[in-house]
Amino acid sequence: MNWDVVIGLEVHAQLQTASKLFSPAPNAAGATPNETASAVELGLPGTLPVPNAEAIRLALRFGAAIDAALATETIFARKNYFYPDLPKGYQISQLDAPIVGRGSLSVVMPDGATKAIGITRAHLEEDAGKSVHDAYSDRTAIDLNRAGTPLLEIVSEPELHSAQEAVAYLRELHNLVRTLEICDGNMNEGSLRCDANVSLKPAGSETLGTRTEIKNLNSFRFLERAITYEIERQQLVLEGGGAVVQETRLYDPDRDETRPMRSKEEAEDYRYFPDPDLLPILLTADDHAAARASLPELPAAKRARYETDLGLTASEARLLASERSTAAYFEAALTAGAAPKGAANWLAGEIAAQLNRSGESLDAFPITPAQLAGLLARVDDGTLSSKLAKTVFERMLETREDADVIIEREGLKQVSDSGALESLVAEVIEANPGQVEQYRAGKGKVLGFFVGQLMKASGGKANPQQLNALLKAALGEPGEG
Amino acid sequence: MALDPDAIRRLATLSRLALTDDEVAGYSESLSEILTVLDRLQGLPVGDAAPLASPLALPQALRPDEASPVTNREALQAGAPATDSGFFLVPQVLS
Amino acid sequence: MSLDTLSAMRRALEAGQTTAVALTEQALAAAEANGDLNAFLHLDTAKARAAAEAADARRQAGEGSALTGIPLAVKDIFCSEGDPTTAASKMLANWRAPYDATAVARLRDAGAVLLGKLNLDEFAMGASGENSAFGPTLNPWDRTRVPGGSSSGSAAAVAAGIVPATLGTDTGGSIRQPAAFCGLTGLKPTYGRVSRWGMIAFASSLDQGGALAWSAEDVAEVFSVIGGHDARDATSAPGTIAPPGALLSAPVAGLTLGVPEAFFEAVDSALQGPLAEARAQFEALGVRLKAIELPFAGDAVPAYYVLAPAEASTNLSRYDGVRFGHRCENPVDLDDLYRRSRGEGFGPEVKRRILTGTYALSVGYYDAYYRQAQRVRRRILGSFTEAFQSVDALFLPTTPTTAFKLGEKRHDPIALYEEDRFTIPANLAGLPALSLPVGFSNGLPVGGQLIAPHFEEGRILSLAHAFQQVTDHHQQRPMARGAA
Repeated sequence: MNWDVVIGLEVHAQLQTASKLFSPAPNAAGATPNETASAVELGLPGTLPVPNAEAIRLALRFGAAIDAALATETIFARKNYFYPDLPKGYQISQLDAPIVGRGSLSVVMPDGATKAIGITRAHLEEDAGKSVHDAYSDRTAIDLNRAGTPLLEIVSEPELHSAQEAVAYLRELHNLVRTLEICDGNMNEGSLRCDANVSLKPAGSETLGTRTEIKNLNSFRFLERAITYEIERQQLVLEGGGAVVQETRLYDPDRDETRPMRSKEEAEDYRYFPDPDLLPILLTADDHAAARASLPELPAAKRARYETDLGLTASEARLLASERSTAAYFEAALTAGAAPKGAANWLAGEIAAQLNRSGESLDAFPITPAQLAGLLARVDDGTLSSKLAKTVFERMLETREDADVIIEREGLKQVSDSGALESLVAEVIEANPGQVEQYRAGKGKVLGFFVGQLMKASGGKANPQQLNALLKAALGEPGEG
Repeated sequence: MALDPDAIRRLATLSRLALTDDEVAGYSESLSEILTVLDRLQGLPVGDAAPLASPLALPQALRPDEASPVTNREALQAGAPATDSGFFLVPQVLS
Repeated sequence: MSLDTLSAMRRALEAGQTTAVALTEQALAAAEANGDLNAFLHLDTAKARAAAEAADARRQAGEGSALTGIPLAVKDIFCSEGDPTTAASKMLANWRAPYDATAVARLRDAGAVLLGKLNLDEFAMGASGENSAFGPTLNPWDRTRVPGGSSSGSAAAVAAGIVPATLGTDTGGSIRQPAAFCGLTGLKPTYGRVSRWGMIAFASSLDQGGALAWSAEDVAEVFSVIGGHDARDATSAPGTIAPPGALLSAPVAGLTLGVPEAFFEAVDSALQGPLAEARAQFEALGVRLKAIELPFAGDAVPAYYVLAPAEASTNLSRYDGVRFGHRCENPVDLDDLYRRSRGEGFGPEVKRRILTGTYALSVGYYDAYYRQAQRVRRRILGSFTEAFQSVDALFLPTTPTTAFKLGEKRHDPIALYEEDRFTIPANLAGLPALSLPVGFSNGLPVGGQLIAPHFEEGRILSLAHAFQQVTDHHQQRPMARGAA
C-alpha cells in the first residue's frame, strides 16, 4: 500500500533579548545554577510579570518576514501544569490572539523546487528551566536559569511530506531567524528546538491519519532520522492492521528510534485562560510598519537578486543565500571589490572544501572576505594563475596574511613580462624543430606540448593566456596538412 | 449539578492536592452546594457581552529590554526546602 | 487621653508634643494588652524601635513627611524584606520574604514605623478572619464576634487602638467588610492604583491594596503614599495620587448619589435605621439622592465565586514545596511531594477554592462557568457605567449584617460567600469603594459604602470626609481592654 506522509513542525526559537520575557533578569545561560533566575523566574510569592518590549518587536519582525497577519491586540494566557522546572505551575504562553497569525515561508525543497509552506501562527511564551537528572544519584536538580527566556513558537501547517522536506523547511527557518537577528540558531545549545507531528494516510486520502508528536529534536540530522524512523514505524503498525496511538514520543539518537514518553496517569487539562497579571498588548499600524521597516534582505529575495542581478546560477544563488554567514561573507567580499562569479566559485569550491576538512564554521574562517577579494584581484589582473592562486590560498590559511604579502615574499607572481616570455618562446621553438614541423603539418595539439615546456621553463609562473598568444604569433596557425 | 467524590478526586489530581476520604466527601457536598449558586449564571441574559478579563481598560505598558544581574541567589533560596550548589532538589524524576 | 488617630499623632509630632519613639512604645504596649485579639502574626519590637528612632532623627533634621514616625502595620499578605510573610497559611509558616512589597517600601520611605504583620483569612480567602492557620482574630467591639475578613487583623488592630492605620487588601470586600464590622473607614482604591508587586496574589484581576483607619482623612493620608504607578506591576495604572488635602476637598454639595434600593431592602432590619439616617445626613450636606437600579449587580456573587477561585487555583500552583514554603516529610516521588505538601500546607477553605477554580477552568466547563462569569462581569461594569451617566457616586450598605458570632458561619461557606454580596460588584468592575461608619446597632458598628467611577477616589473620600465633619460615628471607640 502507498502512504502519504504528513508532517507539521513546531519550532521554538529563543529570542535574542538582553533580559527575560517577563523580568529584568539577564537572558543568559549563567555559569552556575539559578544565577540568572530572579524572584520572578523562581515564582516567589508576590512577584509579577512585566512584558519585554524587545521580545514583542522581535516577534513582529518575524511575522513581517513571513508576510503574516500581525496582531492588533495580542494576549498572554496561562497554560497550567505541574513540573519542577515550571516554577509557577503554569507557563505564560498564548492561545487566542497570538502575536503572529497566518503567514508562509518559501522553502527550497530537496528537488530544487521552491515551495511556500504555510505557517499557522507564531506566539510568544516563556521557556521553562532545566531538570538535571544526572547530577545526583537519588534526586533531580532544578536549574531555572533558562526559565523566562523569551521563546517564539512557530507552528507550521502540516504541509511537509518527507523527512527531507521537513529538514529543508527547518533549514530555511533557521536561516531566516538568524538573518533577522532574532535568534542565534544554536541548535546544540537549544536556542532552536523542534517538535515534529507525523502521520500517515493512504495515498490520495483526504482524511488525516492519527499523528504522533516527536519532542525536542535539536539537530537537522536528528530531525531527519527521527521522522524517517517514525514513518517506517507507523507504516509497519498500519500495514500490520494496527492503529497508530496519538502520543508524544522521544527520539533516542543512540538507538536511532523513537519511543513513547512515560505516559501520564491522566490526560493533561491545561486549563488555558487569559493571564490576569497582564493586560492585552495593543499593536498599532506604526508598530507593524516599524517591524516591516526593520527587515533586512530576506533569503528568498537574496537568492533572486544573486541570480538576476549578479548573474549567478540558481544553484550558486541557493548555496550562497541559504546560509546567513555564507551570504554575509559573499557580500563582504563583493564590497571589497571581488567579482560575484569569482567569489561564488571560491566559496563553492576551495572554501567549502576547506571548511569541510576543518569542520569549522565560516564565521571563524582564517581568510577574511576582504583578503579573498585581494586574492581574486591578483587572479583577475593576471598576476596569479588559478594554480598559483590555490597555492597562495593555502599559504593564507596558514599565515592569515594578505595575498600580496605572500606573492611578494615567495615570488609567486606569474611571469607576463612579454619580452622575457618572447625570448623563452624563441628558445623552446629552436630546441624542438620536430614538434614545430608537426605543428606546421596540421597537428594543432602540439601547441599544448609547447605550453607545457614553457611552463616548466618558467617555473610555473608564465601566464598561460599570454603564452598561447605568443606561440601562435611565432608559429602561425596550424597548417592545413 | 452535583460533584461526586470521583469528580472531586479528579480535581484533586489536576490540582495536586492530597485529600483524605473525609475531605473528599466534605468537598463533594460543599462544592455541589456551591455549584447551585454558580449555576445561577447559566440563565442570565448576557446577550452579546464580550468576556471581561480585567476591569482596567488600558493597554499593556511594556518594559524596556534592560538586564540587571541577579545578585541575591542566597537570599532567594533561603526559604527553599532543599538546595545544593545552587540547585533546588526534588525526588528523582524518571525522564 | 492617648492619641489614636493618624492625624492627631501627626499634629502632635509636628508640634513636638510627642515622639515617634513614644508613639511606638504606646503601640507596642497596646499590642501586648490586646494579645488576645490575635491581630498580629508577627510583631517586631526591635525593628519598630529602630525605625522610630530613625523617624525622630528625620523629623529633628526637618525632613520627613506626614507619615514619618507614625506606627503602622500591614496585613501579612504584603511581603516585607527579611520578615515572616505567611498569608496566614501553614504553607508559608517559615517563609521570610526577600523583598518589600511596593506599598510597604513606600511606607518605609515615608518614614512610617512598621510594627509587624497582621492576621488574615488564609490567602485572603474568607469574610470572618476565622480561616487563619494561626487562629481567628477577635472583634475589639465584642470579643465573641468576628472582626470580618479577610483583613481581620488590619481592622482589629486599628479598632483596638494599637495602630492608627493599617494596610489591607480587598478582592471581594476584604477591606470594606472588616472596616464596617469594626467601625472604621476603609478604602479599596480603583483596580490598578496600588501596586500588587509583593502583595501575595489571591485573584489577580480583583486584588487591590488599600488602607483602614478611623477617618477618611487618615485613609487619604496613607492612600496618597502607597498609591501611584509602579513599573513592576503590569496592571498598575499610570499617574500619581493627589495629595490628601486635594483628595478630601472636592465640594460635595450638588453631587448626586445613586442609591440602589434593592440593596437597602436586602439588609438585616437592624441596619436599616443607621443607613436611613446616613442617607438623610448626605441630603443635609446638599447631596441629592437618586434611586437607581444596577442590573446584574445582584448576580455578582456567582460571577465572583467562579472568577476569583479560577484565578486563585492557578495563582496557588507555585506553592509546590520545591523553591519555598512547606514540603511534606519524606516524599516517595515527585507526585507525592506535590500532593502532600499542598494537602498539608493549605487550609480547608483554600483547598475548596482551588477545587472550585480548577473545575471552572477545566475542559467542558470553561465556557459555562469561566467565560459566562466574564460576560456577567462585563454586564456589571456596564451597569455601573450606565449609572454614572446620571449620578456622581453610589451609596449602599457595606454588609447585610453587623459582625456575627465567632463560629456562627464557619461551616457554611455559602452563607459566608453571601456576606460579600454588596462589596463584590465594585471589585468585579474595578471601581474605587469605601466603607465608613454610619452608626451602631446593638452596640455594633454599621457600615455604609460609597462607590465612584474609576480613579475618582477623591470624590468618595471627600463625601466621607464631609460626612465625618458632621457626624461622630467614626469617633466612637470600643471599651478599652482592662478599662472596665
